[in-house]
Amino acid sequence: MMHLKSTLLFFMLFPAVTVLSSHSSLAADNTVAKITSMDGTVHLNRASRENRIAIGFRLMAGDILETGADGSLGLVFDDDTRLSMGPDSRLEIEAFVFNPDESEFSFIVRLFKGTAVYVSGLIAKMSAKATKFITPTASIGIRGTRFAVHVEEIKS
Amino acid sequence: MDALFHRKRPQRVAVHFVHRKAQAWLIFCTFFAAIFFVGCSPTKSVVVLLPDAEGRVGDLRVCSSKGEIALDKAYQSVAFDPQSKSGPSAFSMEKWEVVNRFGDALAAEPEMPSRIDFFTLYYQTDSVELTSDSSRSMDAVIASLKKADVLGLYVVGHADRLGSKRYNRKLSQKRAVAMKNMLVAGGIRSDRIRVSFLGETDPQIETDDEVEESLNRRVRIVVKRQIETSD
Repeated sequence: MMHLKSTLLFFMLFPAVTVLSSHSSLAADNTVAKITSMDGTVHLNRASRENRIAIGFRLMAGDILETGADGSLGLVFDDDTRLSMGPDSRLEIEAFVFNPDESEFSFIVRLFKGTAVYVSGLIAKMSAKATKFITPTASIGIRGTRFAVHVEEIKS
Repeated sequence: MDALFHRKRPQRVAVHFVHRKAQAWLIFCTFFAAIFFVGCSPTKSVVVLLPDAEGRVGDLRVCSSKGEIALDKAYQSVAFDPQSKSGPSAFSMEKWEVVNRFGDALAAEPEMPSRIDFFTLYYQTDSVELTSDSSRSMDAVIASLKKADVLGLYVVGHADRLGSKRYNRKLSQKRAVAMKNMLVAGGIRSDRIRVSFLGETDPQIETDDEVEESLNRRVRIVVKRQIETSD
C-alpha cells in the first residue's frame, strides 16, 4: 500500500516537476528586455498575475506594463531598442524576435493608453517590415528612429 | 475558428451540438464585443517624429482605417481621431506641447552607451556584383567599419521582386555572403560579422511583383557603435 502510494505520488509529481523546470528554463531564455528606470507606481501583468519588478528586471514577450498617475518606466530591449512610458499608461510587448543567424526579426509593441517614447534598435534598421508600434487607432511602421506616441481618451 | 470546430467533430454528432454551439457562439461574440469595446473605447492617437540624440530624423509610416501618413521631418505629427470626419493630416507640433504631453516619458528615456548606424550598398540585376557607385564607396565603408568603436556588425541581404520568392531569397543570401567576403578581404574579422537575408520581403521601395527596382537590390550593413564619452 505504502509502495503504491509513493509510486502514485511520484507519477503525480513527476509531470509537475518537469513542467516547472521546463517553464523556468524557458523564462530564463525568453526574456527580451530590461527595465532601466522606474518611478512611482508601476505594475507588470504577466500571465494575468501581478508581479514585483525593479530596475534590472527582465521582461518577456506577452508582458503588459502599467504605470499609475505618478508612474514612469524606461526599458532597453536586447536589440538596443529603447522604450519609455509616462504616467497612466498601458503597454504590451506583443512580440520580440532578434535572431540574425536565422534571419528572424519581429518587434511588436502595443500602447493601449498613455504616452511612450521609442528609439529604434537593430531590428528596425535590419527589417523595417518586422517592426510595428500599434495603438487602438493607428499602426506605425518604423524605419527610424525616434518618436513619441500619445493615446488619449476623448473627452465628450 | 468555425472551420476548426467542424474538422474536430464527426459530422453525425453535429446535430446535438447545434444548440450548444449557438450558445458557445453567443458567449464567444459577447466576449469579443467586450474586447472590441475595451480596445476601441474612444481614444485618439497622436504620433510625433523626434530627432534622435545626434539630431538625426528618421521616417515613419502611420496607418489607420482612415488612411496613411508618412512623417519625415522633426516634430512632424499626426493625430488619429475616430470621431473626426476628415482623414488624418500631418502638422508640426510645437516644442512646448511635446514637453507638455511627453515630459515624463522623455525623462524616463534610457541612456545608451551605444548608437546604431548603417550603410546601404546596391547591386546589379540578378547579380552579386555591386553597382559601380556602390563599388567605389566600399573603401570608405570598410575604413569606417575598422574603427575601434564598432561593437557589432550585421549584414542583411535583399533582392527586388523580379523572379520567384524562393529564388530571391537565395539571391539575397548570396549578396549578403558576398558582402561578408568583401569585408573579410578588407581586413575585418569574419567572426565579428553576422549575416541575415530577407529575399524580396522587406523592400526599400514597395513595388508590385515581377518589378525591377534598383533600390531594392541591396545589402545593408548595420553597425552598433560605442558612443565616446566626453570625460
